Amino acid sequence: MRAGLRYGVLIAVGVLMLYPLLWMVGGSFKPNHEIFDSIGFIPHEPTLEGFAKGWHTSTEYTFARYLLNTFAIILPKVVVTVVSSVLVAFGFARFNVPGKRALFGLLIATILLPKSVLLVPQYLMFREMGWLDTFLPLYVPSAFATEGFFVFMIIQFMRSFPREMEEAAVMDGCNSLQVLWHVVVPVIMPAIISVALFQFMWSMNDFLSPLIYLSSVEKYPVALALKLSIDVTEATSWNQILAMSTIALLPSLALFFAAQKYFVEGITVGAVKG
Amino acid sequence: MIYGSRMSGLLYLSPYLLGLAVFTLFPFVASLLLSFSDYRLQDPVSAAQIIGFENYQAMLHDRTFGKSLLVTLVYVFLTVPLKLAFALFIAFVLNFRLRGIGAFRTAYYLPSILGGSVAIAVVWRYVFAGDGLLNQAFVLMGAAPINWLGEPAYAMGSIVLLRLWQFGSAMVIFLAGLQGIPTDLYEAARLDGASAWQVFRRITLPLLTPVIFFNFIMQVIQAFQEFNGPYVITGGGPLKSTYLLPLMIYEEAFKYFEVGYASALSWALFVLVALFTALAFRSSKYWVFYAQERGEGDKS
Amino acid sequence: MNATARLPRLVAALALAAILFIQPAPAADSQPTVELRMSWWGGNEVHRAYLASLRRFEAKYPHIKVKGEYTGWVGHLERLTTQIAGGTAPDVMQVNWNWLVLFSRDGRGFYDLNTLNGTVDLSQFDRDARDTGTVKGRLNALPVAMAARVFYFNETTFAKAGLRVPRTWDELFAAGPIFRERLGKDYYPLAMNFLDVLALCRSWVVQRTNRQLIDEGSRRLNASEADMEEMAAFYQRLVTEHVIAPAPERASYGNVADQELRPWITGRYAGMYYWTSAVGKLAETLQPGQKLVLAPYLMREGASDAGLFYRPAMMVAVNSKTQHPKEAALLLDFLFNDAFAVEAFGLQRGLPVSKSAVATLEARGLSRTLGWDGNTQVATLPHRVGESGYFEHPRVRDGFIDIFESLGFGEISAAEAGRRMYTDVNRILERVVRPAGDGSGS
Repeated sequence: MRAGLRYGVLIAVGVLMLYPLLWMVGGSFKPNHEIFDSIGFIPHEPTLEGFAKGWHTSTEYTFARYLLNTFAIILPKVVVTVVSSVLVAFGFARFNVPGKRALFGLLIATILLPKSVLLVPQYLMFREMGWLDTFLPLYVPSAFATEGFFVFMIIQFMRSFPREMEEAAVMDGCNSLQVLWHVVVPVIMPAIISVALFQFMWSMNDFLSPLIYLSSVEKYPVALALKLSIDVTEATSWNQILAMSTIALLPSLALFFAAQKYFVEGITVGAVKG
Repeated sequence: MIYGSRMSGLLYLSPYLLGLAVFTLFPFVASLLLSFSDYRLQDPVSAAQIIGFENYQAMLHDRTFGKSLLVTLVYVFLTVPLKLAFALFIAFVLNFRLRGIGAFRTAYYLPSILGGSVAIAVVWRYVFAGDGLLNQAFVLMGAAPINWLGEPAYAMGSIVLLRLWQFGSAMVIFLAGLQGIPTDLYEAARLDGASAWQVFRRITLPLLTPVIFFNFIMQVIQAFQEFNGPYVITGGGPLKSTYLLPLMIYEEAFKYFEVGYASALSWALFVLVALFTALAFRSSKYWVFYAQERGEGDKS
Repeated sequence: MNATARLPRLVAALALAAILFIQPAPAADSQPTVELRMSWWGGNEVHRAYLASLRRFEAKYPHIKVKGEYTGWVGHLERLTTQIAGGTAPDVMQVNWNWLVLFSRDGRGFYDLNTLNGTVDLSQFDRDARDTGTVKGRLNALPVAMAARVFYFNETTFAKAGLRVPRTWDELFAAGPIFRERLGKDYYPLAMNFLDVLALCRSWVVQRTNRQLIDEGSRRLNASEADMEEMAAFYQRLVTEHVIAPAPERASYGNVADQELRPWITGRYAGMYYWTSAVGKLAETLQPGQKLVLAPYLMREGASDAGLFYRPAMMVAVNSKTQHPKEAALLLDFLFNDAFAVEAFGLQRGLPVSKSAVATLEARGLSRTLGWDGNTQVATLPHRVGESGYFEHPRVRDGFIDIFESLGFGEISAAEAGRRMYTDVNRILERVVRPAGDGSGS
């Protein structure tokens, strides 16, 4: 019945979604020369060479170092993004602050300008602050809700459910922070999880910012490390890059899988009773 | 407004206000100033001269800019509705406690995770090559192969498909939105004998409109800022048929070192997207339904 | 650093402060340590070679520490230009020859190595080599290796067509139809992207005009509109006579690196007009059983110059504002002339320019390679006509390529293409060739 149809659609679309990725993973197990001329994703001569050499890299450090760097950047970034976005969104969604319209307009406006053009002024700014070659430029701005995308998203979620529960809590004597923590946050948890997930995922792939701010190889995150071996004078060992890309994929994947239950069970506002 | 003072509102906004002052304002104003200058990246900043609106005037005569603007608009108009519709559809299908549904959700989200990673370039160039995966599938099904990357008309198709392939983020947001709809509303409707379609039309859709609105705005903004696809797969070609504005801006700044002109282009793009966004916000009054704000009017 | 780890971090900071106070003062007679920063781009082999050489250098000069800042090719120039714009560039930098006109139009953009002669042994570089790195009388950079584009062909594919590798233009053009007939319409004697086409057409024209294409002094093309049309027509001829694949077909493989082009790997596109310093990667990816060989340089009848574009493949420069010029010079000398470094790099980046480097490699009996042979061939060819660095300026290059692309896709005719190349490129040159001293450099 309905389930059969659902599964049918899911599998068909799933194949389309997955095939390129299967090809990528399969490529990790191929010897380098096979990657370019082979059609299928199952290697003819499977080998772990891509993983072994890719892990050791041609640098002074192993890939583990780059993974650790990535986490050292991303974990703080995600935490501060979530905290600041929720606080700021609460301010926008629930308070009549003077100049709110203008401020909100500014929030949206900051998303509109392409990053490449802000790069040089930002670089000069961080140079003055002495933050070059540190992780700070990569996550400190996020602590100030500078990413309007996330703030806007949470605002929308906050505005989409009735406020009766909040009103009840206020009448019980809670201040706004307590209401935020005990009432609002649980309700918008799916949105918060989404914010964390997106920030995690996008930061993992961010190449330009680390490139410009980090000059020490020992501080490179995965996004930079993956491109270390792509050059114009040498043939690239794509199997190594694909292998390491597959590994780099795993944290995001694991995170998404674990976060599933917030999209499934979601803490619904079933209790629109007092 | 429920909560006591406006001051606490300001307090909540303070990180944003601080961040605005410290991290955002300077680069913004600087890039605006640069757009009125002839600054070239390889020179010291002090060498830049203010040249007034010359960059903007040059833009109007720039054939490449015209082409870039056109293909960008086509790209946005194609991808946004398609991606939203597809993401919403799949979110529905996935919003169910079927067995193994978690695996499916992960599978659909996978392409979005890859995002701008270097692996995507390899994979996608292989999929869309003249002798690539997609064409091989076509041939197997008896259809003729398409020159995805070599024909200007089809190259746009390849980057559109790439974007649609990464609908995972929009889907996740829709899923989160669907989760936010109180289940007792559904129960009540069923008790009243409503059909599935009526439930969708009268309960789900209206309550989903804030999220749809958000996704719409974000998809438009992101479509206007798409960079990775053209950059790694087509290089903007052939014949600039996939030379989206963000790519042009990047090349002007980092390939030709014309940061002044690139800044002007960025601000032109900014104005364009701001107009779109403002229009969308205006229109939201008519179709976006915020659950608790009945009678309070729109607060954009 | 996680927000919840604040307390332990505070403790650690206090401990660190305590340690600093207790640390004994450094010994008065030790040489102060100098830390140099060096940046380069490359692939795996280059990184290994550099790192090994740097460690060896540090062993030789214990008071100097060198920090390597390296990336792949992608992103390197973006980062370098941002650093130069922000005044944070490293002490020693690997650079491309055409970056000299970008960053140092008046010769002051990089440190004048002439002043360090002695510390770095400049006698290993002959006059011509030093000239390539000299801008307005100042030696800005030293060439690592020189390179030119020469002809390499896939002998196996040609043999399959019953042909030997071409030795004249006529033989090349004759090979086209034979390929189509005997091997199939997917087979071509040459693989070209538009950048290669530009270089080849330039060679063709210069072989007749005996002038370089760009004149920096007048900021114009040193060629007539008819010359441009000849270039355009030559490209068209390459396509119509089946020497290279038509533009849509070549583009169908996407924005892919030359050595990763599938038809190249399988031997369907059987030749390249390529840099001697980078040909190794082309040979590396060929499917087993295919053999790449160097061909004689194709010359027009009556040509007195080969029309080569012979220029440094890669150079090393020193930051004009470096705090440690002497140490930087020592590093340069080591990288270019020391036997260990020379061997570590081998022929990775082409045949070295430094005489002692060549001697070292020959003494070690490093096997001849396609690149080596190519450079040897260049030495035998007449190549007095040079070329301006602006030929490789991104705007100029793209100016040409966009028009070739239009021509290749049938949007315009060869005559129209010639006309547009003449007007567009002249206009570009006027804009980008800026005389030194208009506020640039330091």
